Amino acid sequence: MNKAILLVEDNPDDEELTIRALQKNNIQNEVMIARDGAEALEMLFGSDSVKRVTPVLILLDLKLPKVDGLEVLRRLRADDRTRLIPVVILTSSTDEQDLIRSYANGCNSYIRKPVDFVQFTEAARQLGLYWLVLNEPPPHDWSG
Amino acid sequence: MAAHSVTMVWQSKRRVVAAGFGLAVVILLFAAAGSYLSAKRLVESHGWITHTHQVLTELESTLSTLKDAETGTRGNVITADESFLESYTEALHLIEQRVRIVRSLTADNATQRARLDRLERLISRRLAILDEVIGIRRSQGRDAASLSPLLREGKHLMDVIREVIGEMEGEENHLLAIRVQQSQVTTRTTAAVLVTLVIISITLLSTAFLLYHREIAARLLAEQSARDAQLCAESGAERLNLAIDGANVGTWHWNVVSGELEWSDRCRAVFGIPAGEVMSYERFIEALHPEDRERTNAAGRSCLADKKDYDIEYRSVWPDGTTHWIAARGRGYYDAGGNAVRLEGVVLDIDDRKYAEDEIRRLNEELNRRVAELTALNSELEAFNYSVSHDLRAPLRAIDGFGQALIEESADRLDERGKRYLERVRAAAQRMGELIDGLLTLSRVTRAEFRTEEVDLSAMAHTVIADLRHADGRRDVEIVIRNGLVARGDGRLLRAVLQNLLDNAWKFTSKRPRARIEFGALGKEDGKTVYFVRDDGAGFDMKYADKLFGVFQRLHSMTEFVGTGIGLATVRRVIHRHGGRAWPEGEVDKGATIYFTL
Repeated sequence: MNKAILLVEDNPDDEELTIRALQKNNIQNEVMIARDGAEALEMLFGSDSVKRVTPVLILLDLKLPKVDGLEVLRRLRADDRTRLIPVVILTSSTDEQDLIRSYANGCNSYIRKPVDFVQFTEAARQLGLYWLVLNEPPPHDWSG
Repeated sequence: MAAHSVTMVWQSKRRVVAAGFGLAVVILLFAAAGSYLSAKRLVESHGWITHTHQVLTELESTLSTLKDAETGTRGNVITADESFLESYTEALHLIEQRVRIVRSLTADNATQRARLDRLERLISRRLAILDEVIGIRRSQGRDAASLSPLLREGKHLMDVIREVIGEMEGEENHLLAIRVQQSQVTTRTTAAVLVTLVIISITLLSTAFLLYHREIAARLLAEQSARDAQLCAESGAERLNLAIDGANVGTWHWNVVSGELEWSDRCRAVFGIPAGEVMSYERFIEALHPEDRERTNAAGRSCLADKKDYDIEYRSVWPDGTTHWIAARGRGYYDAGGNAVRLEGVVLDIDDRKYAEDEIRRLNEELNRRVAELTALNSELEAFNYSVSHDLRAPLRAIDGFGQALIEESADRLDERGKRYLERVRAAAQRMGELIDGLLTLSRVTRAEFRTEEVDLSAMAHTVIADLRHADGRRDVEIVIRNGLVARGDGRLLRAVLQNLLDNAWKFTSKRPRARIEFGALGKEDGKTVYFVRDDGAGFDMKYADKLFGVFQRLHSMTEFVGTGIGLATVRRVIHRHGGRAWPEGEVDKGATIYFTL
């Protein structure tokens, strides 16, 4: 049973800090990394060279190279295999349009990364606790 | 049509008047002739009366002369005095004369003439007897003469003569009576006819005069109204000319048939053509800008062909080489067969309008360019904001995050100073994060869509204060909020205003053991309610008041009070977007009041 988390993040600093924040909160799930939207889609839908993965949680940045976060979200929600995977937008922006578009495309949560790493760690703790422990995920065989 | 029938009425009236006058003249001629004839007849009848009297006189004289002859003869018989015979001799001569006169007077009357013949014979016989008696006296003496039977015959003759003269006198008197009567009848008839004719004439003349008078009156009236109409037309024409002159409109008239083109001086001036120059259609086309000639020519043709009004704007190239814009309007006039006869119109110098239009076009282009620039700038700003919120924050997170990681991971290898430095690095990063957030808020306030609604400011203030109390419950702050302050505006933006103002009030009173914060309203300024947020905190020096609302402007150090210097800038921007204004009032250590209107 793969309980991996997919982190879609192009900034290596943010990637490392996020992983650190998760680890500091004893979240032991495997963290897969996609460094742009295209890579994320390839992993989620599979390709000739890449085997399809089904994470329990996707942490998705909005501003991404190639295919941006919103487009990734739209594709996920349009496909039966991925439409029920919880997606948490983890981004720098609180731009109103970003919020509206994200929710409109079916994100499950929207978290703005605080500058203060202490606050960020706290956010990661609550996030892990909620989505990985408290929250009941959709049934495993939902994708058919 | 009306004018025509009026003319006909005039003509018939004139005929009636003329006929009346003519008839009156004829009647008067008759009357004159009648008078003449009547007078002539009167004169004639008087002539006849005189004539009759003359005849009578002559007859009496004849008788008397005859008596004289008799008397003379008798005297001679008695006295034998020859001197008595003188009157006899004289009588002989006179009688002959008188009889001749009477004959001439009665020549026209056969009866009288017959009587006169008899009288003449009787007189001759009588005179012969007298002559015989005289002879007897002379030869036989007095007795023989006085006893002669001739005397008795003479006496008898005298009686007969008297009888005949009496008959003649009777005849003459009878004739006289008839003539006088005839004359009287004629005179009476003539007088009656004359009076009648004169009455008819007077009636006719009066009627004619009345008609004529009426016609004259009507004509005077018509002339007056014609004069009025002319005056009216003249003043209308004057007004039109005034309007034409005032509007600086040139007029033209093109006889399509003869090709004649008449231009007013103003018209020539519009084309820059000297006043005296003879115009023709060709000259007109020549005066146009080469690019406008064909178009103008076609417009004139289609105006006449389609019977539409002529309405065109073209350029004229003046003899001095300058180009001028002209507006021309015209209308075609056609004969009964629908053929164009003439084209009448006006021209107007529209240089000013064209320049104004060009100016407007230029300004519009400029405006559009500016709008495009602004739109581009706005989208750039949008992109910039997006980039700021995403990209500028990421490095700050890295600085702060790795700083924290260093503190956590390498704490044993850092001394206290090293740790303090790292904390300052983190604090600076966090502060920059706040500044970025502040700027984003300010930019959002400016760009956000504006929605007008009823906003309960009092309730909003209560909510903001509740949040502040929740965040820092240990403070002893007296809050005074006037209830029922409702304004029209954008709720989210006004919330930002109250949030900032009350945050500030809360912040700058934080060093007071006991503070007071008030939100209320004063009177009105320009019909707008003046709201205020007042505190009794640190206050500020009024000489820096103008800096208060500037971006990143702070009157306190970070060690005194934390802040970004963006809050009041945001407040002012929101207030401005509501069409209001904001101003501060304060004193160091006495507190501050921010007033605003919406």
